[in-house]
Amino acid sequence: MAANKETTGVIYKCPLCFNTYIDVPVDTFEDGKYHCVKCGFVGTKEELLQKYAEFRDRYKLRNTRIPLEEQRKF
Amino acid sequence: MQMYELQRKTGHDLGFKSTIFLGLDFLRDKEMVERFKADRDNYGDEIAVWLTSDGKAGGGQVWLIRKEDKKRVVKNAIDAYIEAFGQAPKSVGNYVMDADLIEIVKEYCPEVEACVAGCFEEGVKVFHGCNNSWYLFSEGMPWGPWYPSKTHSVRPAKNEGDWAGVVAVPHLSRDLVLGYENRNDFFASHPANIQRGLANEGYSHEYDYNLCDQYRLQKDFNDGMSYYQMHVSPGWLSRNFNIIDPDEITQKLYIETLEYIAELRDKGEVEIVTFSEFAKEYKNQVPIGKPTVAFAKDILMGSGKQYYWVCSPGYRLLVDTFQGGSIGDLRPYEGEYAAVTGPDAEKGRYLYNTYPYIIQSQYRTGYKTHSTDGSRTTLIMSHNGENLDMCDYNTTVEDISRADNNCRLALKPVEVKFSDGLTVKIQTVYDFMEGGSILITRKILSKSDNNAELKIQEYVKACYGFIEYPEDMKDITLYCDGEKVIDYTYRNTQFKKQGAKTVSALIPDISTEVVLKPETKADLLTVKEGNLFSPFFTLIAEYNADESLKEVKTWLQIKKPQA
Repeated sequence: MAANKETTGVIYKCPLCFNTYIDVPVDTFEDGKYHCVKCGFVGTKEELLQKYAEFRDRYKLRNTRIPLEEQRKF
Repeated sequence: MQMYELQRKTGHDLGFKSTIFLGLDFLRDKEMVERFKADRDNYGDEIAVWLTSDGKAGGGQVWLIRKEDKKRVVKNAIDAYIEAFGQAPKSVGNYVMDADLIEIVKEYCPEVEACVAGCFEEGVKVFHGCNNSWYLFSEGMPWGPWYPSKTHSVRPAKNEGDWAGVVAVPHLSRDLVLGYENRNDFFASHPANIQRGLANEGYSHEYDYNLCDQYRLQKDFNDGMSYYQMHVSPGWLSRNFNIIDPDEITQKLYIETLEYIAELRDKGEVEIVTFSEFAKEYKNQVPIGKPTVAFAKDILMGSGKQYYWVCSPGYRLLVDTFQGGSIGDLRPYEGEYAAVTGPDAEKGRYLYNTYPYIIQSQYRTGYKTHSTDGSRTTLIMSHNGENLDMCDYNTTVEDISRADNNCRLALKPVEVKFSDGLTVKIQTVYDFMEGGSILITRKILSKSDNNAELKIQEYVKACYGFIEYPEDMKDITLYCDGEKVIDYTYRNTQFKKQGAKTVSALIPDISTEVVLKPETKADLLTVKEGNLFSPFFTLIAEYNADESLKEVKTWLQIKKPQA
């Protein structure tokens, strides 16, 4: 498991691997950045969170409520 | 325990009866047992058994241990339950229960009525998603409740004699679109997993509600019956390593989703029951052999895609309207392929509780994107030397209907246009019949030039497999009119016959015969093998669509080979 030293205890996942839905933790190194054990990703926490936000954009209906009646007509 | 208390309090405050699955450690914990008994007595909760492997079996997962170890594990769990609660359990489960486990449970504890026995379409994609570490292969199964057969736990039983004696459910309700397209552990009735897939946005989590409603929609197509469950263990609700949101968000999303279900209950839209209560109700309402259908609409990606699923004792099948209304997944249950899991199962198949496919357009290419096309069905339309492929023409669902155990799907017509200007409007209708039979009707609604030459081919390209890699096809034999014409040796040979009645493939390894049989008189039937770079077989029925031909009917039949 990633040895993040964050006080929140959150283990972040590599955004590049996650782009293809693969869960791989990222570890912080002495440079303070997150490195992926599987691919070449390296980035700051801000870059991580930015990439997660970009990832979410694929879910175009994530903030759209589609109740049953709407799904019938959808 | 703190998170269990949260779950417990939330459920009880909302007036829910829950089913609580306990592993052996909790069954033997006297103090916890008293607390569970109190909830059973005061709130109507059901206490059930979660089977787990033990050290003597080598640990791991309970469906992946030897049969003798399964017997010991089941005995220990049932005995512990009886000692703790003074009676036998009615519900038992794990992520997967193979045919051996269900048989062992029923023999040792006939009182068991319900099993959590599989994970809908969990397999290859989740294996990849977990960085190739999650060895759970449970694909090819129903997405909702079913009567498991005795010989393969994900295959629905054909009749009472074939039935393993329990009602089974998948461990979560999974997205009916993303279950086909994606790693669907993210897209399931489990709010924390949806967070894991980043499909919420902080406290905004419309998808949780939309998914519940996707399942409620299915009652429109199944005589008023639909099933949905949330199954979350406490460890997901606090500092789970899969989730980057703070705990407050995780816990709120969980509670709000349950509150939505409570709201539906208060409006009389849903009924909340324990697992064994559900099993009893299911047996009252749904006879063995009755098919289930699902109309799957994309509620997350915004693609507008629609899929249709049908699951009967003869086959489980998906129609992909985005791929021209082709068959995108086909599991040939009629063949009654038998399998169990564990180190003493069939060599090379220890892991797979997946029911094999003969068509799987996601794992085995489907419509051509690189070298050649892969497993799919389609209609090839030919005019003046030009071929058009129905897979190029998106459609949508026009009508879903059913009568007795037969189900009908009509797709919206598509218009194809050849380069010389000829246009043809064609509608596809599927009739999914009992006994492994599928009738494909192509209605030629109009032709811009009635005298124009037009040939149409009903095209079935298939194979067999459990995962995304090809199986050995050298035992497959190909037939025309019941006579063997090709031994599969990967040489791309083909056999054609004018006026033939059937072409077929026999796949002994999965006990399945696939037959293409024109109902309308066909001009030419073709059967082909493939090669190692395109390991499939193809069955083709060609029709001359002259001005008098208004529709073409072709049977695709799944059969159990004669002994």
